[in-house]
Amino acid sequence: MVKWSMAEIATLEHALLSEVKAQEAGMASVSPRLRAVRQNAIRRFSKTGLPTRKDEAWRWTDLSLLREQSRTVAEPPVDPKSMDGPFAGLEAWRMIFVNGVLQGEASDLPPGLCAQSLRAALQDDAAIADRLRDSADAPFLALNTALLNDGAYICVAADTRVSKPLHLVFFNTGNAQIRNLVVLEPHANVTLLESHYGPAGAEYFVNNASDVQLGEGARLAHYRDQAESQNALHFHFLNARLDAHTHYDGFTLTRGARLSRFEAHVEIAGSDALCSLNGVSMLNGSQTGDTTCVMNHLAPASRSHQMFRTVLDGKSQGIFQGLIRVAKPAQRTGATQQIKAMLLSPHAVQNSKPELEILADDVKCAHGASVGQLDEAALFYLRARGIAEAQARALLTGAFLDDAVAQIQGSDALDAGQVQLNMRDTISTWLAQKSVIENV
Amino acid sequence: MLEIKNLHVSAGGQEILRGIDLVVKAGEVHAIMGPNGSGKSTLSYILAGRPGYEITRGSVHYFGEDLTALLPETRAAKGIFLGFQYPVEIPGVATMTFLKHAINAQRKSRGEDELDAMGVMKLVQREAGKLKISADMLKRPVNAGFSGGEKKRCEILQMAVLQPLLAVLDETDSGLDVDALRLVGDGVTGLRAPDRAMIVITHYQRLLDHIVPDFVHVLAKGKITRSGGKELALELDREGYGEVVNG
Repeated sequence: MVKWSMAEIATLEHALLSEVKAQEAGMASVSPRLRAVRQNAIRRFSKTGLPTRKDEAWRWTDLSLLREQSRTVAEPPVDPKSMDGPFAGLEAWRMIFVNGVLQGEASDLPPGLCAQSLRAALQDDAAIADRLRDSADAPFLALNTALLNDGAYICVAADTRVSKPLHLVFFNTGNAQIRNLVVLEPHANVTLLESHYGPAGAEYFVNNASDVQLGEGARLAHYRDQAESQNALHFHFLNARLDAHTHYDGFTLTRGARLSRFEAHVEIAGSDALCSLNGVSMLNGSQTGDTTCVMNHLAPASRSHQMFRTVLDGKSQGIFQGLIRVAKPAQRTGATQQIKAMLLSPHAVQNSKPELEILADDVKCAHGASVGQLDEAALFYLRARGIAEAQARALLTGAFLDDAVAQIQGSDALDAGQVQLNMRDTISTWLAQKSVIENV
Repeated sequence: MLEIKNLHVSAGGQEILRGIDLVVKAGEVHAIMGPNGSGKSTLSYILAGRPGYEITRGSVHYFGEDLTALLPETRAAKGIFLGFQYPVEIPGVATMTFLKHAINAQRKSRGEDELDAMGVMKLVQREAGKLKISADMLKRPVNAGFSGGEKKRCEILQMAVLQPLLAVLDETDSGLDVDALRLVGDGVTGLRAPDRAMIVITHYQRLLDHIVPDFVHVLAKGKITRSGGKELALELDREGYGEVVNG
């Protein structure tokens, strides 16, 4: 866990830079391999610092909150098992992290499976450091690597089918840098759930990075629930690499944090892979939710599908930046991206930037982005049948979001219907709470 | 049941209804006929409470209560049903789910117990059978991809399960072929009851072969210019609107 002293440091950015620089001195005990990876990241972050809105990839995401926030707030301990949300009731193996540090005793780890603390894994096997991937123009990833502390290390052997979902529970009360490394060897089949949350109202900055690597024929169902405290700053950089014949099914529910950014970089490095990356964002108040996806097709005959739905109320701001890149060798690629946002308030804003960059000539790509409002004719139709306005709005908004929820494909270990149902419940709860607030 | 007095309505700064008087009693079926643009649909929206219409003069009372002060959903719970000329498509909401919400919202509003899923299903399926609406259609999103005839049959299904006291059917015959017209007409006729009144808005007489009205009114340029019995509809069909509108 990272701590700063208010007296010494004025802003979080300065604190982070100082923290990053201080790392160099303290790395004598670190393995040479890890040291090399981290020194590289330290150099990178020291040079750039946090991005500003002059950086194209950050033009809509104002990080001044990060610069203003300068301290962590101590919170009373809360039982990390008290979480709710779409994964709470599911039977699963659970790894519980508090501020990014694995709580072994509170966790329920799968026997015979490599699912452990990343810090411990790096101490046992220095070669693991080579699997921590870097990415250009990713300051938060560099920061995460520079300040690398702990997270989950999951490595599933070839042909292994994990029969229960593996649930990573990230409970945050203070600033944390969390790093996860998920390696599926060929034909492994895993269901990975993530819950990110913290005590209501707590102010903290949590910077997550996940490296996900799927060997040939592997299958990963990866569903996330971002429900951080309404005052938290949440960043998550997902770096995924898919080999041939893999299947990645991803879904993210974004509902927490004052400012959040989920940035997914998917590299489809093998042929005949299938990648689904979908999500729902529900924003209210002064929340900013940024989803940034780079889908990089490098090999032929693979497919990718993205469907994101966002509803924005209050003065919230939604951001979607999506780039589909099809390299020259990636012939017969099929890629879709469909982004829709619905503004529930006149003060909410959505910025969407879908982009295609296609170098191959035999591809099928389709993308579309739209921003709209609730259909007044449909609203009246429901009300004319006796459905009260608030309920009618919730019904229509839920139906709008359901396009994305319905994409969740499930896995051998987790029935699609079950996880969709749980997502819908969480969405309905949010919509119902919203209408209660409106009626006060 | 319904008493409309000297009703004047404007929308978008234009006066559409210019002094309507109409009294409807329980058990009666009133047909309102008239050329396009005469204000027929506006009258139906005023009764159902659609936003965007301003009542500049006059009054509408329903069982003695000022109807115009009530929200659309309250009116529905009190027994007012509007069969839409253009039923709205609602992607993502299954027809059965929609019906369950509607039935139970109205029951709840009236202080009655809500029906469980099985109760709703039984009620809906019984009425759906009469209207030749398949179970598959009930699973599909409300009106999404329905043909014109399917949409109108679905409106009548809603009326059948919601059991209104005052049904306002706005051009229920538009877009229907002869067979669909008979199905819808029989459906509506089957719902006639001593405690239920209907206002059937139509451009053509042909619907009134199936739903025989007690009274026929001609609405032209925002006013009722003539009223009579069912024979008036036949006269209009024979001679057109020209004379009654101008006379």
